[in-house]
Amino acid sequence: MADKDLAAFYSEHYLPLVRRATWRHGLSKEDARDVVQDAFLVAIEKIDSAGNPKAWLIQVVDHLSLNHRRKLVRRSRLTARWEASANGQDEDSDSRHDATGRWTRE
Amino acid sequence: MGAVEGCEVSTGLSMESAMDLAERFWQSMLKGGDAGELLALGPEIPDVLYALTRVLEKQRNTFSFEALPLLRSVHDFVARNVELISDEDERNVLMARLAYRAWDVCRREARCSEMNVWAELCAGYVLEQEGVRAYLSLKAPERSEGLDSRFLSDPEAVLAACWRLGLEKNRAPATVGEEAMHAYAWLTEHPLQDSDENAYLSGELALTVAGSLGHLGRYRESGLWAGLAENWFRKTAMPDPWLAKVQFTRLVALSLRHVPGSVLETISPVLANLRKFGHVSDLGKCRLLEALSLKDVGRLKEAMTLLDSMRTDPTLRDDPLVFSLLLVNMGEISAGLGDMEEAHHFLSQASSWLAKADTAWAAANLRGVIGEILRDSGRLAEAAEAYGSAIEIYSRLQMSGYAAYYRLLRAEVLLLDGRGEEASPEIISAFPVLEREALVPDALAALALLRESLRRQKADPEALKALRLQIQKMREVEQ
Repeated sequence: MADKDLAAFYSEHYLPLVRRATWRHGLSKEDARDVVQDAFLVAIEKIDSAGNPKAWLIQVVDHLSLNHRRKLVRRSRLTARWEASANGQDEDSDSRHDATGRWTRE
Repeated sequence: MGAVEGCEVSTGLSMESAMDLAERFWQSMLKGGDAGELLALGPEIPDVLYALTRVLEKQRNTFSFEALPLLRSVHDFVARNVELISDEDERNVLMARLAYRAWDVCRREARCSEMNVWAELCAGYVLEQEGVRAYLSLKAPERSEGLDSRFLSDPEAVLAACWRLGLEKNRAPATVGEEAMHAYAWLTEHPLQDSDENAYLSGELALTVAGSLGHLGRYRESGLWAGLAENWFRKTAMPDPWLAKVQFTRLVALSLRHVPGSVLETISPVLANLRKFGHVSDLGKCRLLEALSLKDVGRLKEAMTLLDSMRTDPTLRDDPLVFSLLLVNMGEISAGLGDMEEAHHFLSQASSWLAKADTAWAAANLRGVIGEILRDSGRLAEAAEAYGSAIEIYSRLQMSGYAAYYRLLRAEVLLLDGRGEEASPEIISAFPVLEREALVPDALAALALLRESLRRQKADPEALKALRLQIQKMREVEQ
């Protein structure tokens, strides 16, 4: 795809793809823009080999969005664990207390 | 890269602004505003519509059926003004979301016929989205976790899957069963946020599996899946309308097992519930089951009267499969009553309706009925041929129980026609399936006798008939 065509392709699909990443994949607008930019960077390299460029690009945005969301989930879990340990609440300690409690009662 | 960097594009509305505008728009609609007000939003329309579906999702427990016309007017307005959302794929995504919300309102208030309309619309929009058809063309085992999460994470996609599988279930029960199990497993591992929607859609998928397995002759598994569906539906806020569908699926399984007496004993409450909750399409099918069972217990005139009264029902004509089955049965009864001309008339009509229905097992059923009529009129070679084509179709559809049953019928006809050497392979092919059906002692004895006669290179027609009768009896006993 020539630069001019790619530019037209970009302006035509950029916003719908940002909205897709935002509303379908639950990313913030900022993250969605980053994801779509990344997708276009991949497109510059590979779009010529795609049979249906639009379908291909949507697929890339979906995959990048899903990966991004997984990353966010992992990050928030990690943060929650750090916060819990900073507050002296070891995640496993609750279950150990339960187990000990049951054992003591028996 | 330079080309992209050089582009300047609008960045669209922030989510907060979109939600705020959507809420204001919806408030205005509730106060008598017009969907045309969307026009004022210009290029922000897609963002606001996305946000509107989010607003409606949040309000789902308070959004009443009375507000449905407002949602319909938004849907219709966008459908009429496609240029408002220039990207076709985005338009399909948004329309699917709007249709899903409308479907959900109807579901929560058990408005079954409206629900079906919205489900069909939603499925249509989902199926038009980029990549969905390619995903669906893959067989269930070929669908990776990544693909599933891309195509099944949205509730509207799950609804579309349910709708499509429900339509396809009669056409290709084996594939549909596999796909429905796959989607069910996905949903179990990745439940939808709303527990009521999740319970309903899980129940629908489980019921689709139950129906498909019933058609494949896997009755015990079908019963288990029907039980699962029942458990899911009981978790919904308004379970009774959906439990009526479970009752009906169980009745279909009874009918497929050729136990007409039990079908007639249990059909009344099922008919009453389907009527009460407005399951129009299932109601037609249920009445057909009643007629079929009356025919099978020998009450031919009653069956014929019922079928004749159903022939004028316009809702049945909407479903070529049901209507063709109705005509096949009328043909069979006419033949049973000795009116071969009338039988021929009904069966030819059935044949043209079947072409519209494009449902292979129904075509096999028609061949089987024709085989029986030909056998009873002494045209044995033609009967064997008709049974042969029924067997071929049932085998292709993996409906092995039916294929085995028709193999026995074909073998009987071949023996009567003095073609014992052709009968033996049919019987031998049926053995493994019959053994799998966990036969009762009498049927096992009949099977052993037949096996022995085959060992002596001479299939015994009496042993064959005894086995067939035992299988029919066994199905009654199992109830």
